[in-house]
Amino acid sequence: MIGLVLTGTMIALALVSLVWTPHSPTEIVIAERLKLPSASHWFGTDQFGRDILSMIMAGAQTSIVVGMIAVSLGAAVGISLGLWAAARRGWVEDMIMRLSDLNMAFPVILIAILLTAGWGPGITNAILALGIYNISIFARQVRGAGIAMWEREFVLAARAAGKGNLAITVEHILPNIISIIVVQATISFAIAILAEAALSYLGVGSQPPDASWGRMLSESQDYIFLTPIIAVWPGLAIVLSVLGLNLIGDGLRDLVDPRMARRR
Amino acid sequence: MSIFLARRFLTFLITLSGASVIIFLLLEVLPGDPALTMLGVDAPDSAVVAIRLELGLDRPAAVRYAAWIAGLFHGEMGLSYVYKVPVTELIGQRLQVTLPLAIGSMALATLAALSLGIFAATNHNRIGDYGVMGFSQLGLAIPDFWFGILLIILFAVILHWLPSGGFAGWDDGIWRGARSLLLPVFTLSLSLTAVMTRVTRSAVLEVAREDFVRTARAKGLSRRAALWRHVLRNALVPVLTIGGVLVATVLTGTLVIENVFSLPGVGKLIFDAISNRDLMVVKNVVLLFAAIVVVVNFMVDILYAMVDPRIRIQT
Repeated sequence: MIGLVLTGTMIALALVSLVWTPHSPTEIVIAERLKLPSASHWFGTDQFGRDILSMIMAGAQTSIVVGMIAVSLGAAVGISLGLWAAARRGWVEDMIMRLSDLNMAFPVILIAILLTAGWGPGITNAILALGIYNISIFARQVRGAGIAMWEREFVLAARAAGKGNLAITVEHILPNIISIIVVQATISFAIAILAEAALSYLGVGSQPPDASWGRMLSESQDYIFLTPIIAVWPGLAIVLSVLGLNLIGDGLRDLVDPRMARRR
Repeated sequence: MSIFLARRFLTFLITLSGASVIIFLLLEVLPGDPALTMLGVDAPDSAVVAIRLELGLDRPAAVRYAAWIAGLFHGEMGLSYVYKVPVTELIGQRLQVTLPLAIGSMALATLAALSLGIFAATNHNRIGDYGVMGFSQLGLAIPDFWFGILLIILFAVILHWLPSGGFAGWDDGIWRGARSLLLPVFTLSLSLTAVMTRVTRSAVLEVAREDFVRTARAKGLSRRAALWRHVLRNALVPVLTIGGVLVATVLTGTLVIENVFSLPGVGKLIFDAISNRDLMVVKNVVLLFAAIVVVVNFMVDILYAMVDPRIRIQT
Protein backbone atom coordinates (compact mmCIF):
# COMPACT_ATOMS: atom_id res chain seq x y z
CA MET A 1 0.00 0.00 0.00
CA ILE A 2 2.81 2.41 0.96
CA GLY A 3 4.52 1.34 -2.26
CA LEU A 4 1.49 2.28 -4.34
CA VAL A 5 1.21 5.69 -2.64
CA LEU A 6 4.91 6.49 -3.15
CA THR A 7 4.99 5.35 -6.76
CA GLY A 8 1.66 7.04 -7.45
CA THR A 9 3.03 10.31 -6.07
CA MET A 10 6.11 10.07 -8.28
CA ILE A 11 4.04 9.42 -11.40
CA ALA A 12 1.61 12.20 -10.47
CA LEU A 13 4.50 14.67 -9.98
CA ALA A 14 5.90 13.76 -13.38
CA LEU A 15 2.49 14.11 -15.07
CA VAL A 16 1.71 17.44 -13.41
CA SER A 17 5.15 18.76 -14.36
CA LEU A 18 4.23 18.25 -18.02
CA VAL A 19 1.70 21.08 -17.74
CA TRP A 20 2.62 22.97 -14.57
CA THR A 21 5.52 23.49 -12.18
CA PRO A 22 5.62 26.15 -9.41
CA HIS A 23 8.45 27.93 -11.29
CA SER A 24 10.37 27.15 -14.45
CA PRO A 25 12.80 24.29 -13.72
CA THR A 26 15.40 25.85 -16.04
CA GLU A 27 15.04 29.60 -15.39
CA ILE A 28 18.18 31.08 -13.83
CA VAL A 29 17.59 33.85 -11.27
CA ILE A 30 20.96 34.77 -9.78
CA ALA A 31 19.40 37.09 -7.16
CA GLU A 32 17.49 34.13 -5.75
CA ARG A 33 20.43 31.69 -5.54
CA LEU A 34 20.84 29.20 -2.66
CA LYS A 35 17.70 30.35 -0.86
CA LEU A 36 16.42 28.21 2.02
CA PRO A 37 12.88 26.73 1.80
CA SER A 38 10.21 29.47 1.92
CA ALA A 39 6.60 30.09 0.93
CA SER A 40 7.56 30.98 -2.64
CA HIS A 41 10.17 28.21 -3.00
CA TRP A 42 9.01 25.24 -0.89
CA PHE A 43 12.30 23.34 -1.27
CA GLY A 44 14.48 26.45 -1.71
CA THR A 45 16.61 27.30 -4.73
CA ASP A 46 19.87 25.96 -6.16
CA GLN A 47 23.17 27.70 -6.98
CA PHE A 48 21.61 29.29 -10.10
CA GLY A 49 18.45 30.39 -8.30
CA ARG A 50 16.37 27.67 -9.96
CA ASP A 51 13.38 26.37 -7.97
CA ILE A 52 14.34 22.95 -6.53
CA LEU A 53 10.77 21.63 -6.27
CA SER A 54 10.16 22.39 -9.96
CA MET A 55 13.44 20.67 -10.88
CA ILE A 56 12.48 17.60 -8.85
CA MET A 57 9.09 17.45 -10.57
CA ALA A 58 10.74 17.69 -13.99
CA GLY A 59 13.41 15.18 -12.86
CA ALA A 60 10.67 12.64 -12.14
CA GLN A 61 9.85 12.72 -15.87
CA THR A 62 13.44 11.85 -16.77
CA SER A 63 13.57 9.00 -14.25
CA ILE A 64 10.28 7.52 -15.43
CA VAL A 65 11.02 7.87 -19.15
CA VAL A 66 14.53 6.43 -18.83
CA GLY A 67 13.32 3.59 -16.60
CA MET A 68 10.38 2.70 -18.84
CA ILE A 69 12.30 2.70 -22.12
CA ALA A 70 15.31 0.88 -20.68
CA VAL A 71 13.29 -1.82 -18.93
CA SER A 72 11.02 -2.29 -21.98
CA LEU A 73 14.06 -2.65 -24.20
CA GLY A 74 15.76 -5.16 -21.91
CA ALA A 75 12.49 -7.02 -21.32
CA ALA A 76 11.55 -7.26 -24.99
CA VAL A 77 14.90 -8.73 -26.04
CA GLY A 78 15.44 -10.74 -22.84
CA ILE A 79 11.97 -12.31 -22.78
CA SER A 80 12.21 -13.31 -26.46
CA LEU A 81 15.62 -14.91 -25.93
CA GLY A 82 14.50 -16.63 -22.72
CA LEU A 83 11.37 -18.05 -24.36
CA TRP A 84 13.39 -19.20 -27.36
CA ALA A 85 15.96 -20.92 -25.12
CA ALA A 86 13.22 -22.68 -23.13
CA ALA A 87 11.40 -23.84 -26.26
CA ARG A 88 14.36 -25.05 -28.30
CA ARG A 89 16.86 -26.14 -25.58
CA GLY A 90 20.05 -27.72 -27.04
CA TRP A 91 22.51 -25.49 -28.86
CA VAL A 92 20.11 -22.52 -29.00
CA GLU A 93 19.86 -22.53 -25.21
CA ASP A 94 23.63 -22.97 -24.87
CA MET A 95 24.31 -20.07 -27.20
CA ILE A 96 21.83 -17.77 -25.45
CA MET A 97 23.21 -18.67 -22.03
CA ARG A 98 26.80 -17.99 -23.15
CA LEU A 99 25.72 -14.63 -24.56
CA SER A 100 24.05 -13.94 -21.25
CA ASP A 101 27.30 -14.84 -19.41
CA LEU A 102 29.03 -12.29 -21.61
CA ASN A 103 26.32 -9.72 -20.88
CA MET A 104 26.75 -10.28 -17.16
CA ALA A 105 30.49 -9.55 -17.36
CA PHE A 106 29.50 -5.91 -17.89
CA PRO A 107 27.72 -4.21 -14.99
CA VAL A 108 25.62 -1.26 -16.11
CA ILE A 109 28.26 1.39 -15.33
CA LEU A 110 30.86 -0.40 -17.45
CA ILE A 111 28.45 -0.51 -20.41
CA ALA A 112 27.73 3.19 -19.93
CA ILE A 113 31.47 3.95 -19.75
CA LEU A 114 32.10 2.08 -23.02
CA LEU A 115 29.24 3.81 -24.83
CA THR A 116 30.23 7.23 -23.48
CA ALA A 117 33.90 6.81 -24.37
CA GLY A 118 32.94 5.84 -27.91
CA TRP A 119 30.02 8.17 -28.61
CA GLY A 120 30.04 10.87 -25.93
CA PRO A 121 27.78 11.33 -22.89
CA GLY A 122 24.00 11.51 -23.26
CA ILE A 123 20.67 10.18 -22.12
CA THR A 124 20.41 7.80 -25.11
CA ASN A 125 23.60 6.02 -24.09
CA ALA A 126 22.36 5.77 -20.50
CA ILE A 127 19.09 4.22 -21.71
CA LEU A 128 20.95 1.82 -24.01
CA ALA A 129 23.34 0.81 -21.23
CA LEU A 130 20.45 0.10 -18.85
CA GLY A 131 18.52 -1.75 -21.57
CA ILE A 132 21.47 -3.98 -22.50
CA TYR A 133 22.18 -4.67 -18.83
CA ASN A 134 18.58 -5.85 -18.34
CA ILE A 135 18.60 -8.32 -21.26
CA SER A 136 20.34 -11.18 -19.47
CA ILE A 137 18.37 -10.60 -16.28
CA PHE A 138 15.06 -11.13 -18.11
CA ALA A 139 16.45 -13.88 -20.37
CA ARG A 140 17.63 -15.96 -17.39
CA GLN A 141 14.42 -15.52 -15.40
CA VAL A 142 12.18 -16.33 -18.36
CA ARG A 143 14.27 -19.31 -19.45
CA GLY A 144 14.14 -20.84 -15.97
CA ALA A 145 10.42 -20.32 -15.54
CA GLY A 146 9.76 -21.32 -19.17
CA ILE A 147 11.61 -24.64 -18.86
CA ALA A 148 9.59 -25.53 -15.77
CA MET A 149 6.39 -24.69 -17.68
CA TRP A 150 7.36 -26.83 -20.69
CA GLU A 151 7.39 -29.89 -18.41
CA ARG A 152 3.76 -29.40 -17.37
CA GLU A 153 1.03 -31.71 -18.64
CA PHE A 154 -1.08 -29.06 -20.35
CA VAL A 155 1.89 -28.31 -22.60
CA LEU A 156 2.16 -32.01 -23.43
CA ALA A 157 -1.56 -31.96 -24.25
CA ALA A 158 -1.12 -28.94 -26.53
CA ARG A 159 1.74 -30.67 -28.26
CA ALA A 160 -0.37 -33.83 -28.69
CA ALA A 161 -3.03 -31.62 -30.27
CA GLY A 162 -0.44 -30.79 -32.93
CA LYS A 163 0.60 -27.27 -31.87
CA GLY A 164 4.07 -26.04 -32.77
CA ASN A 165 6.72 -24.48 -30.50
CA LEU A 166 5.72 -20.90 -31.34
CA ALA A 167 2.00 -21.46 -30.73
CA ILE A 168 2.63 -23.22 -27.42
CA THR A 169 5.03 -20.47 -26.34
CA VAL A 170 2.58 -17.68 -27.13
CA GLU A 171 -0.62 -19.40 -25.96
CA HIS A 172 0.57 -21.39 -22.94
CA ILE A 173 4.08 -20.57 -21.74
CA LEU A 174 4.03 -16.76 -21.84
CA PRO A 175 0.62 -16.27 -20.15
CA ASN A 176 1.69 -18.60 -17.35
CA ILE A 177 4.95 -16.83 -16.56
CA ILE A 178 3.74 -13.26 -17.07
CA SER A 179 3.44 -12.68 -13.31
CA ILE A 180 7.15 -13.45 -12.83
CA ILE A 181 7.95 -11.01 -15.62
CA VAL A 182 5.85 -8.25 -14.03
CA VAL A 183 7.64 -8.71 -10.68
CA GLN A 184 11.02 -8.57 -12.40
CA ALA A 185 10.01 -5.48 -14.40
CA THR A 186 9.05 -3.64 -11.21
CA ILE A 187 12.36 -4.45 -9.54
CA SER A 188 14.28 -3.60 -12.71
CA PHE A 189 12.46 -0.27 -12.89
CA ALA A 190 13.61 0.56 -9.36
CA ILE A 191 17.18 -0.42 -10.22
CA ALA A 192 16.97 1.66 -13.40
CA ILE A 193 16.00 4.78 -11.42
CA LEU A 194 18.98 4.27 -9.09
CA ALA A 195 21.33 3.57 -11.99
CA GLU A 196 20.13 6.54 -14.07
CA ALA A 197 20.71 8.80 -11.08
CA ALA A 198 24.20 7.35 -10.59
CA LEU A 199 25.08 7.74 -14.28
CA SER A 200 23.83 11.34 -14.35
CA TYR A 201 25.70 12.02 -11.12
CA LEU A 202 28.88 10.79 -12.82
CA GLY A 203 28.20 12.96 -15.88
CA VAL A 204 27.55 10.07 -18.27
CA GLY A 205 23.75 10.20 -18.11
CA SER A 206 21.29 12.97 -18.91
CA GLN A 207 22.82 16.30 -19.88
CA PRO A 208 21.75 19.92 -19.25
CA PRO A 209 19.19 21.42 -19.64
CA ASP A 210 17.23 18.18 -18.95
CA ALA A 211 16.39 17.97 -15.25
CA SER A 212 17.79 14.92 -13.50
CA TRP A 213 17.91 13.96 -9.83
CA GLY A 214 21.41 12.51 -10.18
CA ARG A 215 22.83 15.64 -11.79
CA MET A 216 21.10 17.86 -9.24
CA LEU A 217 23.04 15.95 -6.58
CA SER A 218 26.39 16.27 -8.35
CA GLU A 219 25.85 20.01 -8.90
CA SER A 220 24.72 20.54 -5.31
CA GLN A 221 27.78 18.82 -3.86
CA ASP A 222 29.94 21.92 -4.41
CA TYR A 223 27.58 23.96 -2.24
CA ILE A 224 27.00 21.65 0.73
CA PHE A 225 29.28 23.81 2.90
CA LEU A 226 26.98 26.80 2.24
CA THR A 227 23.50 25.25 2.06
CA PRO A 228 23.58 21.53 2.86
CA ILE A 229 19.80 21.24 2.44
CA ILE A 230 20.00 21.47 -1.38
CA ALA A 231 21.68 18.05 -1.44
CA VAL A 232 18.87 16.50 0.58
CA TRP A 233 15.82 16.92 -1.70
CA PRO A 234 16.89 15.11 -4.88
CA GLY A 235 18.20 12.19 -2.81
CA LEU A 236 14.90 11.95 -0.93
CA ALA A 237 13.04 11.89 -4.25
CA ILE A 238 15.19 8.97 -5.42
CA VAL A 239 14.85 7.05 -2.15
CA LEU A 240 11.06 7.40 -1.98
CA SER A 241 10.57 6.39 -5.65
CA VAL A 242 12.86 3.36 -5.38
CA LEU A 243 11.37 2.36 -2.03
CA GLY A 244 7.86 2.58 -3.52
CA LEU A 245 8.74 0.37 -6.49
CA ASN A 246 10.61 -2.15 -4.31
CA LEU A 247 7.63 -2.43 -1.96
CA ILE A 248 5.29 -2.98 -4.92
CA GLY A 249 7.72 -5.60 -6.26
CA ASP A 250 7.77 -7.40 -2.89
CA GLY A 251 3.97 -7.27 -2.66
CA LEU A 252 3.55 -8.66 -6.18
CA ARG A 253 6.05 -11.44 -5.47
CA ASP A 254 4.07 -12.47 -2.41
CA LEU A 255 0.94 -12.61 -4.55
CA VAL A 256 2.69 -14.71 -7.20
CA ASP A 257 4.46 -17.00 -4.75
CA PRO A 258 2.56 -17.16 -1.45
CA ARG A 259 5.23 -19.50 0.00
CA MET A 260 7.61 -16.52 -0.05
CA ALA A 261 5.12 -14.48 1.97
CA ARG A 262 4.85 -17.17 4.61
CA ARG A 263 8.61 -17.31 4.88
CA ARG A 264 8.85 -13.67 5.78
CA MET B 1 33.58 -33.08 -11.35
CA SER B 2 36.47 -32.86 -13.83
CA ILE B 3 34.09 -32.71 -16.83
CA PHE B 4 32.12 -29.99 -15.07
CA LEU B 5 35.35 -28.10 -14.33
CA ALA B 6 36.57 -28.40 -17.92
CA ARG B 7 33.25 -27.19 -19.35
CA ARG B 8 33.04 -24.34 -16.90
CA PHE B 9 36.64 -23.33 -17.60
CA LEU B 10 35.97 -23.31 -21.34
CA THR B 11 32.94 -21.06 -20.80
CA PHE B 12 35.10 -18.82 -18.65
CA LEU B 13 37.69 -18.47 -21.41
CA ILE B 14 35.04 -17.81 -24.07
CA THR B 15 33.37 -15.15 -21.90
CA LEU B 16 36.66 -13.43 -21.19
CA SER B 17 37.71 -13.36 -24.86
CA GLY B 18 34.22 -12.26 -25.87
CA ALA B 19 34.41 -9.40 -23.38
CA SER B 20 37.75 -8.22 -24.80
CA VAL B 21 36.36 -8.32 -28.37
CA ILE B 22 33.29 -6.30 -27.35
CA ILE B 23 35.40 -3.69 -25.56
CA PHE B 24 37.68 -3.34 -28.56
CA LEU B 25 34.78 -3.11 -31.04
CA LEU B 26 32.88 -0.54 -28.96
CA LEU B 27 35.90 1.68 -28.37
CA GLU B 28 38.02 1.38 -31.47
CA VAL B 29 35.96 0.08 -34.39
CA LEU B 30 32.26 1.01 -34.21
CA PRO B 31 32.62 4.74 -33.32
CA GLY B 32 34.84 5.21 -36.40
CA ASP B 33 38.44 6.46 -36.43
CA PRO B 34 39.87 6.18 -32.88
CA ALA B 35 42.24 9.09 -33.65
CA LEU B 36 39.20 11.32 -34.22
CA THR B 37 37.50 9.92 -31.09
CA MET B 38 40.55 10.95 -29.07
CA LEU B 39 41.21 14.35 -30.64
CA GLY B 40 37.68 15.37 -31.63
CA VAL B 41 36.36 15.86 -35.17
CA ASP B 42 37.72 19.42 -35.41
CA ALA B 43 41.34 18.35 -34.88
CA PRO B 44 43.83 19.45 -37.54
CA ASP B 45 44.86 16.74 -40.01
CA SER B 46 48.51 16.90 -38.97
CA ALA B 47 47.61 16.09 -35.35
CA VAL B 48 45.38 13.21 -36.46
CA VAL B 49 48.15 11.75 -38.61
CA ALA B 50 50.64 12.16 -35.78
CA ILE B 51 48.51 10.37 -33.20
CA ARG B 52 47.73 7.59 -35.67
CA LEU B 53 51.44 6.96 -36.10
CA GLU B 54 52.20 7.35 -32.39
CA LEU B 55 49.58 4.83 -31.26
CA GLY B 56 49.79 2.57 -34.32
CA LEU B 57 46.19 3.37 -35.25
CA ASP B 58 47.05 3.12 -38.96
CA ARG B 59 47.21 -0.67 -38.65
CA PRO B 60 44.10 -2.78 -39.42
CA ALA B 61 41.73 -3.35 -36.48
CA ALA B 62 42.43 -7.09 -36.27
CA VAL B 63 46.19 -6.47 -35.99
CA ARG B 64 45.63 -3.84 -33.30
CA TYR B 65 43.39 -6.22 -31.35
CA ALA B 66 45.95 -9.04 -31.59
CA ALA B 67 48.73 -6.67 -30.47
CA TRP B 68 46.62 -5.54 -27.49
CA ILE B 69 45.93 -9.11 -26.33
CA ALA B 70 49.55 -10.21 -26.93
CA GLY B 71 50.69 -7.24 -24.84
CA LEU B 72 48.34 -8.26 -22.01
CA PHE B 73 49.99 -11.69 -21.88
CA HIS B 74 53.29 -9.90 -21.28
CA GLY B 75 51.73 -7.66 -18.63
CA GLU B 76 51.71 -4.61 -20.93
CA MET B 77 48.69 -2.38 -21.47
CA GLY B 78 50.32 0.32 -23.57
CA LEU B 79 50.95 3.98 -22.76
CA SER B 80 48.36 6.41 -21.46
CA TYR B 81 47.94 9.06 -24.13
CA VAL B 82 47.44 11.83 -21.56
CA TYR B 83 49.84 10.90 -18.74
CA LYS B 84 52.49 9.38 -21.06
CA VAL B 85 53.16 6.57 -18.58
CA PRO B 86 52.38 2.85 -18.88
CA VAL B 87 48.70 2.11 -18.12
CA THR B 88 49.77 -0.78 -15.84
CA GLU B 89 51.70 1.71 -13.70
CA LEU B 90 48.69 4.05 -13.49
CA ILE B 91 46.33 1.24 -12.53
CA GLY B 92 48.85 -0.10 -10.00
CA GLN B 93 49.05 3.29 -8.26
CA ARG B 94 45.29 3.76 -8.24
CA LEU B 95 44.59 0.27 -6.90
CA GLN B 96 46.25 1.37 -3.64
CA VAL B 97 43.06 3.33 -3.04
CA THR B 98 40.48 1.19 -4.82
CA LEU B 99 41.46 -2.19 -3.33
CA PRO B 100 41.37 -1.13 0.35
CA LEU B 101 38.07 0.62 -0.37
CA ALA B 102 36.54 -2.49 -1.98
CA ILE B 103 37.93 -4.99 0.54
CA GLY B 104 37.09 -2.77 3.52
CA SER B 105 33.47 -2.30 2.46
CA MET B 106 33.04 -6.00 1.69
CA ALA B 107 34.48 -6.96 5.09
CA LEU B 108 32.38 -4.42 6.98
CA ALA B 109 29.23 -5.43 5.07
CA THR B 110 29.81 -9.16 5.69
CA LEU B 111 30.34 -8.62 9.40
CA ALA B 112 27.31 -6.33 9.75
CA ALA B 113 25.05 -8.47 7.54
CA LEU B 114 25.84 -11.75 9.32
CA SER B 115 25.14 -10.17 12.71
CA LEU B 116 21.97 -8.38 11.58
CA GLY B 117 20.69 -11.36 9.55
CA ILE B 118 21.16 -13.86 12.38
CA PHE B 119 19.68 -11.40 14.88
CA ALA B 120 16.61 -10.87 12.65
CA ALA B 121 16.12 -14.61 12.04
CA THR B 122 16.38 -15.50 15.73
CA ASN B 123 13.86 -12.75 16.49
CA HIS B 124 11.59 -13.73 13.59
CA ASN B 125 8.37 -11.67 13.42
CA ARG B 126 9.35 -9.67 16.48
CA ILE B 127 10.20 -6.01 16.71
CA GLY B 128 13.94 -6.56 16.19
CA ASP B 129 13.23 -8.46 12.98
CA TYR B 130 10.96 -5.69 11.67
CA GLY B 131 13.61 -3.11 12.53
CA VAL B 132 16.33 -4.97 10.64
CA MET B 133 14.08 -5.59 7.64
CA GLY B 134 13.07 -1.92 7.59
CA PHE B 135 16.73 -0.91 7.62
CA SER B 136 17.48 -3.35 4.82
CA GLN B 137 14.56 -2.09 2.69
CA LEU B 138 15.82 1.48 3.16
CA GLY B 139 19.43 0.47 2.47
CA LEU B 140 18.35 -0.93 -0.91
CA ALA B 141 16.58 2.29 -1.87
CA ILE B 142 19.25 4.81 -0.82
CA PRO B 143 21.65 5.64 -3.66
CA ASP B 144 25.15 5.13 -2.28
CA PHE B 145 26.44 8.42 -3.70
CA TRP B 146 23.69 10.32 -1.86
CA PHE B 147 24.42 8.45 1.36
CA GLY B 148 28.06 9.52 0.88
CA ILE B 149 27.04 13.17 0.48
CA LEU B 150 24.88 12.96 3.64
CA LEU B 151 27.82 11.48 5.58
CA ILE B 152 30.04 14.32 4.32
CA ILE B 153 27.46 16.86 5.49
CA LEU B 154 27.28 15.24 8.94
CA PHE B 155 30.90 14.30 9.63
CA ALA B 156 32.78 16.95 7.66
CA VAL B 157 30.49 19.99 7.40
CA ILE B 158 28.66 19.85 10.73
CA LEU B 159 30.89 17.87 13.12
CA HIS B 160 34.31 18.49 11.46
CA TRP B 161 35.45 15.02 12.54
CA LEU B 162 36.56 13.64 9.19
CA PRO B 163 37.78 15.07 5.86
CA SER B 164 35.11 15.72 3.21
CA GLY B 165 37.20 13.97 0.56
CA GLY B 166 40.65 13.42 -0.88
CA PHE B 167 43.19 10.80 0.08
CA ALA B 168 46.11 11.37 2.46
CA GLY B 169 48.17 8.48 1.02
CA TRP B 170 49.86 5.59 2.82
CA ASP B 171 53.30 7.22 3.18
CA ASP B 172 52.53 9.08 6.44
CA GLY B 173 51.30 5.99 8.23
CA ILE B 174 48.36 3.65 7.84
CA TRP B 175 46.05 5.66 10.09
CA ARG B 176 46.15 8.79 7.91
CA GLY B 177 45.29 6.81 4.79
CA ALA B 178 42.67 4.73 6.55
CA ARG B 179 41.08 7.86 8.03
CA SER B 180 40.40 9.25 4.55
CA LEU B 181 38.80 5.93 3.58
CA LEU B 182 36.52 5.65 6.64
CA LEU B 183 33.51 7.49 5.20
CA PRO B 184 33.87 5.95 1.71
CA VAL B 185 34.04 2.39 3.14
CA PHE B 186 31.02 3.07 5.33
CA THR B 187 29.14 4.53 2.36
CA LEU B 188 29.86 1.65 0.03
CA SER B 189 28.96 -0.98 2.61
CA LEU B 190 25.39 0.27 3.11
CA SER B 191 23.70 -1.34 0.09
CA LEU B 192 25.90 -4.45 0.37
CA THR B 193 24.85 -4.88 4.00
CA ALA B 194 21.19 -4.44 3.04
CA VAL B 195 21.33 -7.20 0.40
CA MET B 196 23.41 -9.62 2.46
CA THR B 197 21.30 -9.13 5.58
CA ARG B 198 18.18 -10.20 3.69
CA VAL B 199 19.91 -13.27 2.26
CA THR B 200 21.41 -14.27 5.63
CA ARG B 201 18.07 -13.86 7.39
CA SER B 202 16.07 -15.94 4.91
CA ALA B 203 18.82 -18.60 4.68
CA VAL B 204 18.91 -19.00 8.47
CA LEU B 205 15.08 -19.16 8.62
CA GLU B 206 15.01 -21.72 5.80
CA VAL B 207 17.62 -24.03 7.32
CA ALA B 208 16.14 -23.71 10.84
CA ARG B 209 12.97 -25.40 9.53
CA GLU B 210 14.85 -28.44 8.15
CA ASP B 211 14.27 -31.88 9.67
CA PHE B 212 17.88 -32.33 10.71
CA VAL B 213 17.67 -29.23 12.86
CA ARG B 214 14.51 -30.51 14.49
CA THR B 215 16.24 -33.85 15.11
CA ALA B 216 19.19 -32.09 16.68
CA ARG B 217 16.84 -30.15 18.96
CA ALA B 218 14.90 -33.35 19.79
CA LYS B 219 18.18 -34.94 20.83
CA GLY B 220 18.46 -32.25 23.46
CA LEU B 221 20.67 -29.67 21.76
CA SER B 222 19.94 -26.14 22.96
CA ARG B 223 18.60 -23.55 20.49
CA ARG B 224 21.90 -21.72 20.54
CA ALA B 225 23.97 -24.87 19.98
CA ALA B 226 21.71 -25.99 17.11
CA LEU B 227 22.03 -22.55 15.56
CA TRP B 228 25.82 -22.48 15.68
CA ARG B 229 26.49 -26.13 14.87
CA HIS B 230 23.84 -26.91 12.27
CA VAL B 231 21.98 -23.88 11.00
CA LEU B 232 24.77 -21.40 10.35
CA ARG B 233 27.06 -23.85 8.58
CA ASN B 234 24.33 -24.67 6.05
CA ALA B 235 22.99 -21.15 5.79
CA LEU B 236 26.40 -19.87 4.72
CA VAL B 237 26.10 -21.38 1.22
CA PRO B 238 23.59 -18.85 -0.18
CA VAL B 239 25.36 -16.06 1.69
CA LEU B 240 28.64 -17.05 0.02
CA THR B 241 27.00 -17.09 -3.39
CA ILE B 242 25.45 -13.68 -3.01
CA GLY B 243 28.81 -12.44 -1.73
CA GLY B 244 30.31 -13.47 -5.07
CA VAL B 245 27.58 -11.75 -7.01
CA LEU B 246 28.11 -8.61 -4.95
CA VAL B 247 31.74 -8.33 -6.06
CA ALA B 248 30.47 -6.71 -9.26
CA THR B 249 28.39 -4.31 -7.16
CA VAL B 250 31.41 -3.42 -5.03
CA LEU B 251 33.59 -2.80 -8.07
CA THR B 252 31.14 -0.52 -9.79
CA GLY B 253 30.39 1.02 -6.42
CA THR B 254 34.04 2.06 -6.05
CA LEU B 255 33.77 3.84 -9.43
CA VAL B 256 30.96 6.00 -8.05
CA ILE B 257 32.16 6.46 -4.47
CA GLU B 258 35.66 7.55 -5.52
CA ASN B 259 34.03 10.37 -7.42
CA VAL B 260 31.90 11.37 -4.42
CA PHE B 261 34.95 11.59 -2.13
CA SER B 262 37.47 12.72 -4.81
CA LEU B 263 39.63 9.67 -4.12
CA PRO B 264 42.46 9.10 -6.63
CA GLY B 265 41.47 5.48 -7.35
CA VAL B 266 40.71 3.52 -10.50
CA GLY B 267 37.18 4.98 -10.62
CA LYS B 268 38.50 8.53 -10.75
CA LEU B 269 41.10 7.42 -13.31
CA ILE B 270 38.52 6.03 -15.72
CA PHE B 271 36.18 9.02 -15.57
CA ASP B 272 39.12 11.39 -16.05
CA ALA B 273 40.17 9.18 -18.96
CA ILE B 274 36.70 9.53 -20.51
CA SER B 275 36.87 13.33 -20.26
CA ASN B 276 40.41 13.31 -21.66
CA ARG B 277 39.47 10.73 -24.32
CA ASP B 278 42.33 8.55 -23.16
CA LEU B 279 41.07 5.39 -24.91
CA MET B 280 44.05 3.29 -23.88
CA VAL B 281 43.20 3.75 -20.20
CA VAL B 282 39.43 3.25 -20.69
CA LYS B 283 39.98 0.05 -22.71
CA ASN B 284 42.25 -1.60 -20.17
CA VAL B 285 40.42 -0.54 -17.02
CA VAL B 286 37.07 -1.76 -18.39
CA LEU B 287 38.67 -5.08 -19.35
CA LEU B 288 40.24 -5.38 -15.90
CA PHE B 289 36.88 -4.84 -14.19
CA ALA B 290 34.99 -7.17 -16.55
CA ALA B 291 37.71 -9.80 -16.02
CA ILE B 292 37.39 -9.57 -12.25
CA VAL B 293 33.60 -10.04 -12.54
CA VAL B 294 34.05 -13.08 -14.82
CA VAL B 295 36.75 -14.64 -12.61
CA VAL B 296 34.65 -14.21 -9.46
CA ASN B 297 31.56 -15.68 -11.14
CA PHE B 298 33.69 -18.64 -12.24
CA MET B 299 35.01 -19.16 -8.71
CA VAL B 300 31.54 -18.92 -7.19
CA ASP B 301 30.25 -21.55 -9.65
CA ILE B 302 33.09 -23.91 -8.76
CA LEU B 303 32.66 -23.36 -5.01
CA TYR B 304 28.93 -23.84 -5.34
CA ALA B 305 29.38 -27.10 -7.27
CA MET B 306 31.80 -28.33 -4.61
CA VAL B 307 29.23 -27.67 -1.91
CA ASP B 308 26.15 -28.84 -3.83
CA PRO B 309 26.76 -31.87 -6.12
CA ARG B 310 23.39 -31.43 -7.89
CA ILE B 311 24.78 -28.41 -9.76
CA ARG B 312 27.48 -30.55 -11.37
CA ILE B 313 24.93 -32.98 -12.77
CA GLN B 314 22.64 -30.29 -14.12
CA THR B 315 25.26 -28.41 -16.11
